[in-house]
Amino acid sequence: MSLLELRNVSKVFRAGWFKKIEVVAVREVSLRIQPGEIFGLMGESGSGKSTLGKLALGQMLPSSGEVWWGVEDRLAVQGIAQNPYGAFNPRHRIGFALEEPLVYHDLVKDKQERRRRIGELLNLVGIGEECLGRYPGQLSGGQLQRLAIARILLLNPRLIVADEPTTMLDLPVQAQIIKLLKTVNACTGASILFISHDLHLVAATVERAGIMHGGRLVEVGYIQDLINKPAHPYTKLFVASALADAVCRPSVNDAFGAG
Amino acid sequence: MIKMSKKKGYIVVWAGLGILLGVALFAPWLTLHDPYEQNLANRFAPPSAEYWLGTDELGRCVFSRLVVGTRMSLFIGAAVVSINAVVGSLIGLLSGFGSRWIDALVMGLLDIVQAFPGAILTLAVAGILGPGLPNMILALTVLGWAGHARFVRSMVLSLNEREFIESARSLGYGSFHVLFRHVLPNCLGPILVFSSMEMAGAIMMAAGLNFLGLGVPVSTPEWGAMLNQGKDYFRTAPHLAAFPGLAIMIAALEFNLLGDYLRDRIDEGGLIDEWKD
Amino acid sequence: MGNRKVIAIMLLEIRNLTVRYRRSGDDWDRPAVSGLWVAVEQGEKLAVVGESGAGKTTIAHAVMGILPPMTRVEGEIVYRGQRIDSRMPEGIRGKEIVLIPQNAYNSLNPVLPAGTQLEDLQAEDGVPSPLRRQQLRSMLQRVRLTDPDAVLASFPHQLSGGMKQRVLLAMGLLREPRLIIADEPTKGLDPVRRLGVLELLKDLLAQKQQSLMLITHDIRAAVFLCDTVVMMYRGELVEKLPVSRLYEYSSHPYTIALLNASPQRGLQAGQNAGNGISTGGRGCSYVACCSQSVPVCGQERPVWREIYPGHLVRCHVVA
Repeated sequence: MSLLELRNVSKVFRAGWFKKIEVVAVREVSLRIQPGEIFGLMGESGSGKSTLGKLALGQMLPSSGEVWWGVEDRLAVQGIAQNPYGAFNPRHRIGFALEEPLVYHDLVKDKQERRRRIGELLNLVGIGEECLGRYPGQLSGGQLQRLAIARILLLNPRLIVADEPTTMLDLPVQAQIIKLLKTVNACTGASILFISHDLHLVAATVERAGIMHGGRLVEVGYIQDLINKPAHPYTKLFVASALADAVCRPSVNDAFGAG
Repeated sequence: MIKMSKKKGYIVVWAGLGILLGVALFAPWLTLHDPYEQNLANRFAPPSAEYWLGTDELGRCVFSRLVVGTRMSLFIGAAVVSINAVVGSLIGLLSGFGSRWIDALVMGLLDIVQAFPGAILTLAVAGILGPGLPNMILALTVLGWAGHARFVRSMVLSLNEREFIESARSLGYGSFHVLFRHVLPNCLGPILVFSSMEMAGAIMMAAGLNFLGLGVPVSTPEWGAMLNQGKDYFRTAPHLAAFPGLAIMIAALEFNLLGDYLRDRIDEGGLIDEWKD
Repeated sequence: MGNRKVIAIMLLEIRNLTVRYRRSGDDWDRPAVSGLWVAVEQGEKLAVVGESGAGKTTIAHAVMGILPPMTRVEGEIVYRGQRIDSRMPEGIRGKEIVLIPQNAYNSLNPVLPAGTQLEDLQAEDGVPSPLRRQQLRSMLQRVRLTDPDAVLASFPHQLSGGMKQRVLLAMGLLREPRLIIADEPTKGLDPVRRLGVLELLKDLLAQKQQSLMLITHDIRAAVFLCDTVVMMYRGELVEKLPVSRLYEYSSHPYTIALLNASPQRGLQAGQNAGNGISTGGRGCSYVACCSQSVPVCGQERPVWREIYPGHLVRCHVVA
């Protein structure tokens, strides 16, 4: 039983006078994500991958087709957004923001127990307890993203939709976040839908992946197959572009004699 | 540059506010003479040691009346602004956050309300309802909430797009919770700024109504009413009108500056510690 | 080719630059850039690599004279032997030194068509009216925009982000500058677009032997386009080396950590906690995060050492 299944899903946005202008963001996409797997979704900006992420989260309804989740509870599907600086309410302290889900949904009634759980998660994501008294504006992007992950872990999600979670972060911080996501996947068995345009990042993170172009899912498969044996022309272009400058490493005996 | 000198000048703003509030609070103890006491032998007296700002057409102490008037003006201003802010903000919040139908309905209402020439309608309402403090406050708020509503609505609409609001919904929080616990706190700062500037306007409108005799009874020590009385004697005893006029101007200026200052502070992000990466 | 070094002409020299931004009131941030010495020779392509907040964009803004009003600047910037004030724009900026800014999509005037904005530049340069259209068309074709007339007639919001970036490139190249400063041209781009921009830049630079200062955190882009790389950490340079030595012979712990963090090397997140050596503000700026630090790193600032011709490092540990 898949954790997430999209059956021929399309999403059309309408704008303009009398809603005449149509933008087809997602076009007849069918996809399955299994429990416990990390699935990569790649494509250029405008390819529809973010919209697909929102559909997977249930943040919007498809214009046609169906989205099925293999979970009982809406709260088991959670997301991480691209901009860590906007993830938290600037007027609330972090401690409050982390307690809020537990309090609102009555998940943990005892205050001590809540503190303990939050402390556990902070440990998991590698953030010290002193951040609980701070405001989001006082923390760095990397810290905020890790706290965002901690926050959704409070709800024990089965599916995490991470939409370009590292694009706004620097390389070393990126590495930390990816490591963290993999740890979460390994420890809790949550599936991750990892949306990114960085082929190398996806290759280092996922097992299976799909490529989107113009709203369509043009190819799906194991990441190594997509890289080594791409079938669809766009996949070939995508992969070749990403690898192009990797082979262009200047040799030690470069022509300018700078060595 | 301008910002630099404004910074040092803000002491004046706080001092001014303190003085106004202090006077309003301690008015009964700050008067020289009984503001209602008439001294017909000593009418139109110029400022002197005994009567600091002179006496009016009935021999009453202008200074004492001005002091008591502070209480009245600030109270009216605060009442009007509070009502406008609360009612307007609530409507703005619901409109910005609710469904498109609710929003369309409220916007239509706003358009109608704001299409009326404000001052004229206020005068008309005051005229119809007759004199009296409650009527005056009603006249000033019947249209006054619209500015707040529109302002808050636009803030809510832009906040709706922010990621933490979307997160809040993903985390399963209900609409009311998101609206009042997440959206509203982010609106409070600008609402405060808007309100303090409105205060200046409210004080002036109240004075204006009283000036036209459409508010409190004529002999009440209120700045606008005093202006009304004093205008008839401007040639011979200018101080009767000048001092109340000055008081109105200073109070309005003070609240405008306060609003400016608060807005600068909020823009700077100084109300919450910001640490730029 | 071996003679290039001997007759190298110094195009741009940044000497001992320190820039401080004003936070509020009398509160000055720690320097965004401190004690910086960088030089670009004629025809050289230099990459300034570092993370966000390292001060790379500050350098670009300082050279272009577009630092915000409340900044304190020390040191000097010398262009072709002439000192240029880092605050006031002159006839050099925008003409001989050109900036392709980050977030290109925000840099065009939204109320004017692209063509008008380009023509304004031509008017300023005294290009005769009849020749303008043709010059613009050929320039847009040089930046690989396929329908120049359509682009010229469009408003910025009608153009895609990539097209806007190319229009800005065209604007910059219109004056045949000697030095192009490109600020994060590949940021946030998917592989296909990214390669397009990189190849375009490489082509354009090859045509007229212009110099480039590339500011980026994308190390592979730096390797693709440039000859020399300088690594920046928190406002200071820590290593300078030819691109050919980057992957195999980088020496500074920060450079190595940055390379190791890339996916191709396994996303090694690194320690990020240092060896517990405290500085009291005196030692090397990287000591707090450096896994190879030794006691002297906390006491003395390291000096530059040339460990190989053209390869300099500032580190106590690298002998």
